[in-house]
Amino acid sequence: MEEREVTFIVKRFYRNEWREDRYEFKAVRGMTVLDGLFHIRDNIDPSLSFRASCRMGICGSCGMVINGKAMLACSTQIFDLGTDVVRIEPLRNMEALKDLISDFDDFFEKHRRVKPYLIRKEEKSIEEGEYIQTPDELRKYRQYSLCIKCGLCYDACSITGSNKEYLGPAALASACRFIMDSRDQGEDERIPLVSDHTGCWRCHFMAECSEVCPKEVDPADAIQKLKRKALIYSLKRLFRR
Amino acid sequence: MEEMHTKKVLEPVWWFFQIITGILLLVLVSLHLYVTHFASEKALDYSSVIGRLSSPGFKVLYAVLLLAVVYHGINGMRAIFLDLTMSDVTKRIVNILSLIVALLLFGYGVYLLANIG
Ligand code: HEM
Ligand code: SF4
Ligand code: SF4
Ligand code: FES
Repeated sequence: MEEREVTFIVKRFYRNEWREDRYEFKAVRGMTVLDGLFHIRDNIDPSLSFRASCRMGICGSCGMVINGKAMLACSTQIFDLGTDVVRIEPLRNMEALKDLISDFDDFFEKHRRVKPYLIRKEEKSIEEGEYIQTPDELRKYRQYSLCIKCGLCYDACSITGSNKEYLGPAALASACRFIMDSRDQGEDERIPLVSDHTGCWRCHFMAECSEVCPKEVDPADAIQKLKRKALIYSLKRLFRR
Repeated sequence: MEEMHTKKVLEPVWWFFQIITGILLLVLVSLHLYVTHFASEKALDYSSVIGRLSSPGFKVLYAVLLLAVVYHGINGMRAIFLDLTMSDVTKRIVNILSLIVALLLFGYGVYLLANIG
């Protein structure tokens, strides 16, 4: 089996202090960056902290910055990185808690703010049956529903870095997911939320969020759709008065 | 239910005007560059400049170009300032200052257009 000596340089945070540790070990073909971190924790340094759960790119826990780019550690092959020296940092644009573990409170708070659930003006009773949706209606939002809340886009977005109040790509994609859903009737609540100074007008469509997104949610595209929706909504409001 | 205030209703409209003025700039700046650099060798002589600025057609064209540039530039700068973390008071200051600067620039330009030639 193909083996190679690799060096992980890990940016670590503990008790308000940053430091960098170097770990050298033999990696084999097939090993992911997450496997490497487990190897270090099990064999070299048990104090190294990181988050992971599913190891298959679906739980969204293992987001980190690998050689400068936000990626899922479990979905990144060490041998695919094209270098034997791998630099690993916690996600930026979030507070570090310990080592590679970042504080997602703000990220999830913003997600909560866009009301990520179906809103109905009048509920149907169970006897009346389901809310029927055609495949075409499903396709309008399906892509945006694939988000695993990994926070990679939050790291990549420079506006998230410059404006603490900006809702950010993931929350806005989530808002879009519900606004585009034919069963949802929450437009009057959600559009004003995403259309103020902290919402979609902060996005300038550099699309770095979509570049790093592991699930091809394409939040940048979702936000441009929100801008159009907000414009149409506003024009309707202006001319109805 | 959250009421959509006039300010929020207008925010998408400002964005729409940013795109409209952007397209307008593409057309008018190309026209302006064509007239001043390609149409004739003497286009930038004092007499030609004054000649153009005396014609009502050019006056209107330049007023529209000025309006588009001022709106697009100032609203664009406003968007960039608002990208920083700031308090509601500072946001208001940015909005009001943008409006004042835009009005001053446009007013001064129209004043010159009206009085030249
Ligand atoms: C060739 C003509 C131009 C076109 C087609 C154009 C187009 C645009 C568009 C579509 C936007 C909106 C971007 C967004 O939604 O975020 C924009 C933003 C902006 N434009 Fe222009 N523009 C032009 C010329 C200019 C010029 C000459 C200036 C400088 C005076 C300028 C300065 C800006 C600024 C500062 C922004 C805000 C940046 C942002 O929101 O991302 N533009 N432009
Ligand atoms: S496209 Fe918008 S949300 Fe995505 S990184 Fe750029 S500014 Fe941020
Ligand atoms: S939009 Fe993509 S990058 Fe952002 S949190 Fe969702 S899955 Fe992750
Ligand atoms: S461990 Fe679940 S996405 Fe990586």
